[in-house]
Amino acid sequence: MQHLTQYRKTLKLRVFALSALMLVTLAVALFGDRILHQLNPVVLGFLRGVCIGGEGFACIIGIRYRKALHSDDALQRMYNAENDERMKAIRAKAGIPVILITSVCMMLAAVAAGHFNLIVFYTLTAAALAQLLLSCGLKLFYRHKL
Amino acid sequence: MQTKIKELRKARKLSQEELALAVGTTRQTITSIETGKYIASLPLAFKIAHYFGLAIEEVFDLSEFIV
Repeated sequence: MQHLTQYRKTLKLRVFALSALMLVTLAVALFGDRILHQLNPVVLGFLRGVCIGGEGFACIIGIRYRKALHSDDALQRMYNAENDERMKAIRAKAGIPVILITSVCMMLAAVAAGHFNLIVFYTLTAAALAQLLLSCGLKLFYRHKL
Repeated sequence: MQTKIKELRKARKLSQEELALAVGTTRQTITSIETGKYIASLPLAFKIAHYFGLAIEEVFDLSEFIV
């Protein structure tokens, strides 16, 4: 099937992008204090934590993608799950991916602002986390409702 | 919206997972459609009806939408 061939190519691209992301986050997690020594220790610690969490998440997702690339059945299931109309409706109602993008932007802004003012860093981080929690809550609510 | 998907599925000894895989959706969506929580879109309704070899109105009860 043509859509599965195209999806296979998409997954390969994602695996490549995830590998690149893992290299970057690993570099920040291991050498953050040497590369970003001018950052406040609290902000640097936060950034390291996010990188380690992101590394773990990228690992899990990468393994799932590689499994799907080696099995037609798993690939079909993953394609169905990603393009399922009910899940698309739930994601749309929960504000995904807009809330995710704004939360990531807020966290980047928090790290940058943290260099100048720690209170701004805490405020922006708290706002980003609140947004993410709200989105999660909405997703769970609509998964139950629909 | 009421549907006959569960009866048709059981008559053919199909699981929700098998039907979902056949029509390109997930088991949770099939469950939601069967319980009436979720109304399938036209393309999905057509795929399901086509899979059973029936017309859409024979699988989905559209009487509530008739004015």
